[in-house]
Amino acid sequence: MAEISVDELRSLVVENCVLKIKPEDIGEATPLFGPGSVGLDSLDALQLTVAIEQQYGIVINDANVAREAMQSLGALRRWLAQQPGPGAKS
Amino acid sequence: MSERVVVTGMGAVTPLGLDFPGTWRQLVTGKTAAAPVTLFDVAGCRCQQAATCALPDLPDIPAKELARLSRASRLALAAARETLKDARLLDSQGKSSLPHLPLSVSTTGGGMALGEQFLRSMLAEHRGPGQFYHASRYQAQHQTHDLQRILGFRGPVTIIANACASGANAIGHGADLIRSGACHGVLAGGYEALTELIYVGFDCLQAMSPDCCRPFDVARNGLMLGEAAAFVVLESASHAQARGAQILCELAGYGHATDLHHLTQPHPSGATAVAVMRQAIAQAGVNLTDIGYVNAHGTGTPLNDASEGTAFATTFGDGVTVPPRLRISSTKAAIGHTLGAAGSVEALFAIAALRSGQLPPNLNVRHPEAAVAANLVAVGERPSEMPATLTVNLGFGGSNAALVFKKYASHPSAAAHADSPRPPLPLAICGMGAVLPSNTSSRMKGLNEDTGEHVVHCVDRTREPLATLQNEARVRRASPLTLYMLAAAQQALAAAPEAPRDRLGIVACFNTGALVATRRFFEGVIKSGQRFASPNLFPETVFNSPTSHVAAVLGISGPCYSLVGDDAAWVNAIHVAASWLTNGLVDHALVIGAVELDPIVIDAFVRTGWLPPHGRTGYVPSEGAGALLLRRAEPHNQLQIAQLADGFSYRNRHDASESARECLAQFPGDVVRCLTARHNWFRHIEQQLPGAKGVTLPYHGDAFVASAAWNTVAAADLARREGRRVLQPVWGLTGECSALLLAAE
Repeated sequence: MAEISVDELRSLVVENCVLKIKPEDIGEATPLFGPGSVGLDSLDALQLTVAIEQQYGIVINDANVAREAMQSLGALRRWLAQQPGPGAKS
Repeated sequence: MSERVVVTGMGAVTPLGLDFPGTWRQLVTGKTAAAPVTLFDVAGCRCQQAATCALPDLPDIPAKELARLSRASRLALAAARETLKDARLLDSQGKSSLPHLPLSVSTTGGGMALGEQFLRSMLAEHRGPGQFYHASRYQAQHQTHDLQRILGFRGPVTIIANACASGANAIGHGADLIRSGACHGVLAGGYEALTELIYVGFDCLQAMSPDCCRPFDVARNGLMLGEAAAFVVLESASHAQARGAQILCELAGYGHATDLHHLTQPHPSGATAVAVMRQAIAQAGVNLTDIGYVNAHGTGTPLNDASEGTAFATTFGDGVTVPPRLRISSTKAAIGHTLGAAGSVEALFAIAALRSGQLPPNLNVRHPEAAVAANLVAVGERPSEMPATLTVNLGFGGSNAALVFKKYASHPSAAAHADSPRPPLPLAICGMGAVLPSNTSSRMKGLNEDTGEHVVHCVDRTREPLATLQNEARVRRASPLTLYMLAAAQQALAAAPEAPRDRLGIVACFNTGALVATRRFFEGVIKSGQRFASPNLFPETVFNSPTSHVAAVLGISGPCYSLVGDDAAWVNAIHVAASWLTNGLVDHALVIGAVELDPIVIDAFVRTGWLPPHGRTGYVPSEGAGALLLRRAEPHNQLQIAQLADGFSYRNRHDASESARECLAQFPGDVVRCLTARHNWFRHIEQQLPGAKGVTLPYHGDAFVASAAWNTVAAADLARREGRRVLQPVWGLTGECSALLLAAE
């Protein structure tokens, strides 16, 4: 599907995960989960799955795929760009 | 030694039967009630099945009244009536033969289906009928009123909303009340009616199995929701013996504590589950080998069952496996996870296992978890003789609870303390805190255009310490009242920083709980569809989430209760704290009352007539929190809660007046009485009561339990300043009235 900007994904993450930080404070390569990360947890992973389906029409049914795709904003941007488009399943 | 507590009656409505014997017959033969959901549309959900109840007929209730009863009330009524009948406490008219009977009840959703209908109608352009009914009857205290009114008894009501452990808490708390000497008998139990909000919530968390619930199977992939109601009559052994009651068993042990690991995930070690089982076993005075059967929480989710299996291995075995002689089953594959009723209905299964020589099987297991592989009960299994059984429940927010039931043997000491219970009062007030709304009023619109804009008092969350508290990682998703509770609790704790956190408990009380999160979650479902329900918001809608957050941020791993009710829930919360302190469960108890405002509140107040659409009544909705840090009073404590009293619950102005008189008559006359009623029936009643001349406390708007908490803080200050005893009435708007006496000795 069409390229999505990192800024758009920053806003998506901050808004959906109710983060108390400025979107620009999340680097493209900053881990989203785990030590030294933005501090997201499993509930946020589910929330982002829902938000991505709602926003871009891309369904993520596999937890392993979600884990890979959501490592960082950059990883998410690259993964989304590889997806065939709305309605596809991963 | 405190008074022994016995079970003298039980009853249940479950997806497997309209009464307990019917349920048990189906259960032990391996039946499951799993079926497609037809109560509401689930077309947009990932899962489609649940275990729902056939609705009891209740033929003796007039059709008009029956039509007004919520599904939750109908389930609870049938189960409670069966329980009283089983205890030989139901007269020929179908009423309780004990006119005074305290009620300890649990639920997570109350009559939420009515709340859902109200929100839908407020968001719709063309509103349907029944708005007053929907807005005014969904809260849990209306189901307990239905129980009291239809079954003909009065008495204090405690409604515990501790998520999935609530049902065990309700029964355990009933026993605490008896042990603390507060009463000799209690009707205790839980009820839950399945609603769309809860179903969609679990669906969006992907916590439900899309195919089959398999507790303790290595391939388990989620839970199945259910609904049920189950009650017991608990009595002191001496009371039961004196009236010649059948004694089913002894409720010998109760343990409860809080797992601070995560809002929705247990600690992998199951350490808190181990702690509560050990507490219950120690209180019961039984050996580990005495326990022959455990009814497990066993939801069938990957994380719960792994943690719980480890907890069983730690408690009963070598840390890796459990000795084969201990039989274990989760009954959730048969009747579903019944949430607020689970701990109660599963307690009944543990009692029946103790008495019947049959065990409920653990269904749908092909490859069991290693820790419990030798222990899971098969269909038709007959146990060897067992002196005791245990049930454990592990809930959202880390609420963990365990109960131990043992066979009753008459004991000469049974009556030893029947007439000399330790008095639960006075309590020392060690610290106080209040989060008040801003002095300048603002205006809030309802969700519906017709509701208009009304004057409110809001808390300014940009001010300290709230602004800083919002940055706590644990509370980033939380509803605003969590911040109010935290700030009030920190103020109260500041006066006693030495209070050890592991000997400290929290009793929080709410009217509507985390309403902002609840409204936002279900509004999202209505507007965007079930498929896009928010997994981040749903856990925050659960009543005990704010309490759990406060415990986690403050490092309080002791017991935590979240109570629901009207203003009088504040006095109930102090009663609970008193029972914990009297029984030595904790050294300090933090009691918190909190309320948050949301536009849907404005809609509800307008539809119920409290806020007229085009006029001012002086009634100003408000929000905030108040907190007390309490301990048992010692001679050097200056500020005390000297006395508590409850009036009976009421439904009309006349009863309200009688209830208020009865309540205040329990206090001495030579006290300073606070005038706390503002804009309800009690404004006039209060002025007509004897000794009407009183002190008017500062007004910060109407915030129910938070107002009651602020008034206690103000009344305590007054008592300290004047060196006199001060009486604070607490007038509940929806049917309870209570009062407390503050003293500076």
